[in-house]
Amino acid sequence: MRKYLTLLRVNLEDALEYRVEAAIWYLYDLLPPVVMLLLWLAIYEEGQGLAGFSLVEVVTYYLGMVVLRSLLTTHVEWAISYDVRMGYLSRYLTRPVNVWGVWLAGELGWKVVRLLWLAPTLALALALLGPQLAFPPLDGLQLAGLALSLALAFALGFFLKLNLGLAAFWLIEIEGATWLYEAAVFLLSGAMLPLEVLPDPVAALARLLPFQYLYSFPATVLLGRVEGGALLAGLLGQVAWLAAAALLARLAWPAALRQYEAVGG
Amino acid sequence: MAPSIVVEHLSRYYRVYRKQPGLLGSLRGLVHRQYADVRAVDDVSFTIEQGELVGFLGPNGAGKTTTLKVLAGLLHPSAGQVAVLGFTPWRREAALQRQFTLVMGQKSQLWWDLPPIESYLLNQALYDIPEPTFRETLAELADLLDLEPLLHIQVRKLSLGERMKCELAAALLHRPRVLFLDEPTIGLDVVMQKKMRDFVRAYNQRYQATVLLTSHYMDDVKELCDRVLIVNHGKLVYDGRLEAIVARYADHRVLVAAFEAPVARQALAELGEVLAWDPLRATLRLPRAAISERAALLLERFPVADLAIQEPQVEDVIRQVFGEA
Repeated sequence: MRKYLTLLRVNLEDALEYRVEAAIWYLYDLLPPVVMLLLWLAIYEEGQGLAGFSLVEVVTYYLGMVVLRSLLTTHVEWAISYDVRMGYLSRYLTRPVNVWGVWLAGELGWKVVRLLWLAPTLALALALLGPQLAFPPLDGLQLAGLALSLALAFALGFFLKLNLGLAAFWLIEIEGATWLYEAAVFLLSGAMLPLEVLPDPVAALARLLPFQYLYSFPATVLLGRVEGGALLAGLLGQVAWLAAAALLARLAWPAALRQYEAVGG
Repeated sequence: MAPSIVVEHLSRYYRVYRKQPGLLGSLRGLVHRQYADVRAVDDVSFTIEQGELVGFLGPNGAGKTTTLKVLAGLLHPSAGQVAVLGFTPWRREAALQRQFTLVMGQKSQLWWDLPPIESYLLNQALYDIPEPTFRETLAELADLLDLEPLLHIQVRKLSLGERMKCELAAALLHRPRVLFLDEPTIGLDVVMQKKMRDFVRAYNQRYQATVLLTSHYMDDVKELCDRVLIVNHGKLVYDGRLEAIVARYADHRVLVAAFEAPVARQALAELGEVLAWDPLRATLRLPRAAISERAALLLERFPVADLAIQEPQVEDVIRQVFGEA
């Protein structure tokens, strides 16, 4: 365990070396929901509603999305494809350490830095928007559900991206695949629009895919829109997709390592 | 004692895609690709005892690095058996990983944006090195390699020589018993190369460590390695003492003579092949067995002012071996 804590610390120090870079990546999490919120504010001024969301709920949804994106977005596929393409994977494969653990520690290091930016943003937003927010009081079960759904969403995102990263062992270059993945997340995860406002066929597609469990489901828990059986069903959906993604990665891993050619040097 | 490294009939092939030239070839490659196996390592066998310092020689692409990568567990072999300290390297068991190290002159294991000490602390955690041992080893390495002033400077700001020293220290903190060094002196100036060599030798002697080293600098090999493995086109073409191969291939010696008075080329040619000549100076190539007899004749017949018999250059011998295979 100490190995991974040290890895986390070194990654954190590394991320802190790149203050500007970290700030720019934070904007990547921050700006889209803010832009969407401004768009919806304009629409509400025209007097149009949004699929049963009140204006207060819309503001809350996108603020929640800022938080969720900062907490849950992972880019582990980037680290993997870099390590594979440049041959840096070798330095971990020759040392007594679990390589997935190395990648996870790398993600968490950057995550902590992201939180350093999120905290003041959130404080500012709450100070400005306080009265216009509607965070409903959650009961103990819903709070536990929220914590669990956040943890599962992060793990699911990590394993989906891990699989994407493993593709780099064969494809070497995975920018295209990553772009496709991000497009699917953009549309089908609830990150840009609540799934309720999507056209029916698109919403139906979203319900078949794992992306809804990354943002949409934790957001609905946060907004107190699910409880009881629906909450449990959502959590089980997350667990099922997580298990599938983890199993796929587990199966692909030995083959990926055989494929690895330790380039360079 | 069991040998450190046993390699039996090791082969490693790479599949490469043979692209047809031109755009048409690229389009063809979209639907149908021709693959060919390249034999990077082809039926190589050798054994290295504990404490040996062995040089691994061969031209670029001969299969040296591929062999090292198999030994370090990075590549699965296509055929053959390998044991390092009794372990199968590509199973990547921690018990083996704690006992060897791989240094690639062209690949850094240090964190680029952090000072070396951070990478050292990380290695301490990864290898579970107890604090007192870690301090002792680091102090020792810092002393031998002059690291003290470098420990707290970001790696990206170090010179290549400084970085390589830090690199080597990082690789040795866990006191490995087996060292795979892939061109550890590449790009270093002669002073720095010498330092690295002295250090490798000192480490080898102090810890009875087994060292397998590749280098394109013949001085590294001459000074460090009693035994060399020479590979070419994936095959092991020589395994033995460096002097033995030099003696075997260098059946001639080069003699350089300076004269007090002009000497005719024709007259010199009776002694041996004249490689270079001007009236006051000549270079002759003579059979090794006859060298003293011919030198005596030279002194007897000509007004010799100075005479030198040159040792054969290891580089020349190795080039000859590479050329033949």
